[in-house]
Amino acid sequence: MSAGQSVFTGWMEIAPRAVHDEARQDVEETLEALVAQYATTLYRVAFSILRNASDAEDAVQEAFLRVLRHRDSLDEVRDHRVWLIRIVWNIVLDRKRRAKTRPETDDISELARVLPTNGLSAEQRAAAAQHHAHVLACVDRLPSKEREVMVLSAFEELSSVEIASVLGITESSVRSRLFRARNLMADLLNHARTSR
Amino acid sequence: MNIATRNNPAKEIVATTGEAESTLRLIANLPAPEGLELRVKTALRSTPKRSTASLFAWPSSPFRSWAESAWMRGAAAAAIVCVVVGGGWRVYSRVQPKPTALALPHVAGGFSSAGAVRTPHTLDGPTLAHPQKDVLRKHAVDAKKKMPPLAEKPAVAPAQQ
Repeated sequence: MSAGQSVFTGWMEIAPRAVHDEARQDVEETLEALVAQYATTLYRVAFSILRNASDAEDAVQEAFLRVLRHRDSLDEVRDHRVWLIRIVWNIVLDRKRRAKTRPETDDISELARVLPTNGLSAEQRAAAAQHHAHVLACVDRLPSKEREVMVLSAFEELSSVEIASVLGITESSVRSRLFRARNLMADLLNHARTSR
Repeated sequence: MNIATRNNPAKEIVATTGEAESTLRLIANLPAPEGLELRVKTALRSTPKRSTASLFAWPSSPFRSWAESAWMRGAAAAAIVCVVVGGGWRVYSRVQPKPTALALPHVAGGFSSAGAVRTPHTLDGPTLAHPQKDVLRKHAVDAKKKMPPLAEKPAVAPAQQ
């Protein structure tokens, strides 16, 4: 083959799949490591809002697919954990907004299925699920800003700075919202208790 | 609720919200379902990769390396923008819109036009020049001289008059 032919062959050939293979391999390995490390955390965050196991799994999967789409910017991310939680948080809020309000009975049955047994009898588990569902119904009645902070503050692995980063607010806003949320929550629970 | 918490509203709030927070904490520590990791990894693998292969590949690898650098791409984009803007400016500078009104020439030291604009009489067609009276008379005299002498007028006017 002459030099000219080789040049034209180079132009006309579909580039081999080996182009950027090394870089792609690195990205895939990074992604798999992220899945192994943070899938559980993301699932918990998703479940705390959606309260449905399969919906939460879908949200986690969608979050990682979004990461795959923006894999070129993976190197620019400083804190992968907060970044991933922020992604799944946005997905979950979007889904929650679109979905209809779940009745409390759905939460009870789902919690009874999901909560760890801890040696409880079936009746005790059902009662516990009912109690938790009632508390969650009160949480749902909080204003959205306060509710979001309260839900995220339950995650021990998230500091107030990280919660602020996920929500895109300042740390002092997180604290003031949490304070308001606790007061409102106490009112709601007391009111529910007296009305029973 | 005991007496101590009833007298202290802060403690009461803590006690009441404690159960709410314990519920939220319980959810925050739920174990992930088995197979979640595998499911996500499978989904990531089965997603069609964004094709980096192109129909026409650059023939030589050194050229490919600098052609794919961000700096060179930016420079190429800037060059394209310059060419487009320059071409547009060239066309614009050659084809100027016609002025709709003629401005009066500025006379140095004279009165200003005070913004007055002279507009051309675009609807005036060819005008018939009126000959002057002197010229008409001259033509009439010349014509009389050239004409042959007429016969004498009849003495009696016609009956009809």
